[in-house]
Amino acid sequence: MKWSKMLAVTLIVSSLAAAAPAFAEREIANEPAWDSEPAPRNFDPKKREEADKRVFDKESIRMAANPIIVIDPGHGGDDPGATGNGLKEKDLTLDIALRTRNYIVANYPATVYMTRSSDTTVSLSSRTSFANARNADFFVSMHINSATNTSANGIETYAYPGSVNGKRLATETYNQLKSSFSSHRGVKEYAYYVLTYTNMPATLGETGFISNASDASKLAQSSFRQTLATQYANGMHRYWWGF
Amino acid sequence: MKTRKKWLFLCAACLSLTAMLIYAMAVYQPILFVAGDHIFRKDDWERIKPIYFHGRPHTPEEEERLLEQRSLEELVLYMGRQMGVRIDERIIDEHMKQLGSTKEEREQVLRQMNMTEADSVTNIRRALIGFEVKRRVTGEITVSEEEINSYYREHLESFRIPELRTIYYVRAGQADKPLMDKLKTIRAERFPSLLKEYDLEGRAGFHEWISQAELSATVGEEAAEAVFRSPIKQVVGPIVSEQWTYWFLPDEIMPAKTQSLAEVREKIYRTLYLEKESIVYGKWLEEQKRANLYCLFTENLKNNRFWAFWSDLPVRLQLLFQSHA
Repeated sequence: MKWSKMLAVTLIVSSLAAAAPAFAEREIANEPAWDSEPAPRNFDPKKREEADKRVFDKESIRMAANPIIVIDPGHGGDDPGATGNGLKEKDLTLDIALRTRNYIVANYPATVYMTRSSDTTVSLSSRTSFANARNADFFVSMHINSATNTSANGIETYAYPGSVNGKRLATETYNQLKSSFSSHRGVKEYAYYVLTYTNMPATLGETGFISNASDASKLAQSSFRQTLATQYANGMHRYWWGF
Repeated sequence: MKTRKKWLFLCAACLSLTAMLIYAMAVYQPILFVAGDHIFRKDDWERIKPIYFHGRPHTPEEEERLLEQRSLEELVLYMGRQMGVRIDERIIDEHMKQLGSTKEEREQVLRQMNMTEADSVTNIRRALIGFEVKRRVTGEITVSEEEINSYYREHLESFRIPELRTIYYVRAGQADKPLMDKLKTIRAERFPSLLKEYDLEGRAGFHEWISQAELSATVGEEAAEAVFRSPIKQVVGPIVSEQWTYWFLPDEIMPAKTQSLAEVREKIYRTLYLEKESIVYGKWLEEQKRANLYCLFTENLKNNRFWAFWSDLPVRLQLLFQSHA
């Protein structure tokens, strides 16, 4: 009799353990609800109404919705950037940048600015002063590579020499983007203008070679550009959140 | 009577055992992580995975990394609830306007990412709580003037900028005799119009504020040296580099210089601040992992239900006793 009792108890405990999540998981956070205590003496419904009507000024939104990110689609307007295989760098960078912006805005409370959001000519000094004026938390410049040797292909990202956080941003974006390419050219340091004259950590990404037929055929597909955009956004997320 | 009771117990035990085995093999969802009071199971992951991967192929390592990221987000959200962090919905409404001023515009943008407005609002609310937690945890960080000055002195080399030039170029392939003949007599003022004429074919281009080293990587050392030796507004060429013959026009010069402390103060401040922020937040996160119930079971991505049912037993018991404590 004893053994059957033991078996029954064990089974009941196991069954309870299997059901444990039902007790532990809650749909609503276990915090005091409105009816758990009477309203405080200083509660004034009129004041609350006034507060509810208060228009949020840009500054309070900015404070709540951080970080401020400036995305820089390389080239544009009179400057097509690299060209090859029927593609122009300025069009690809703009498309990837707009997709990245949308992905970030749809998923994170970031304020995203673009140095250009159409096919216009923007000088390098305008791009960096734009980012500096917005007091951005970080800056991501998007480019497509090109080489006279048409077999060159793959991904590389850049940071300003000696910039600890720039390197971290470049590494995080690189780690995400590299799964889209078979050739991993590494995280490099170089004093590009936009990396030099921005006040904040900055990176410059070269996602594929327009001069390489295989990279170009992938870049021509909108689904591939969406993947690159998602990877850029995930890299920025990891940089900012720390995981 | 005694024998009947014994048989009843035995039948009940057998029935419970069978029910449990059926549950373990057919119904049980393996636990992927526990963060505070949040239990995340395999079916939860399958539901949200498309947001991360958009149907593209991915490696098991990538999936594990994203799962870990999600688990840490949940731990931060749990801590946010403990801290009493509340998010004003109007901030989310304002934020959503970045996607479009009307609901239709927003839905159109989100549809391209296989998302609905409800998904987006949930994600933003989660991230806002996370940011607020981070702000509270790292709010006390300061960077002193002395730290900025000493960083500048120690990293002076990083603030040296080489001479930069803005350069137009046109180039002709070795077999392209008509273009080669046309370019032989090229004058400086013709470069901008040639850029428009030939840019699509990759036979003309423009480098804005490029250094000699950077240009060398594109056209070779000899050509870059010649372009950087030349005064501005003077045609340099023809210079042969690999299969091309080049003509360059250096248009503007920015002399080499070392940036002053005043120029880079803000950059150094942000670098040091973010470095400290990252350390403080990382340390805090590790402490929370130890202080709260945090377990990650990436192996359950591969384990079958039955095996996971038993391997998850210790953590389920822990949760059971915790919820009744």
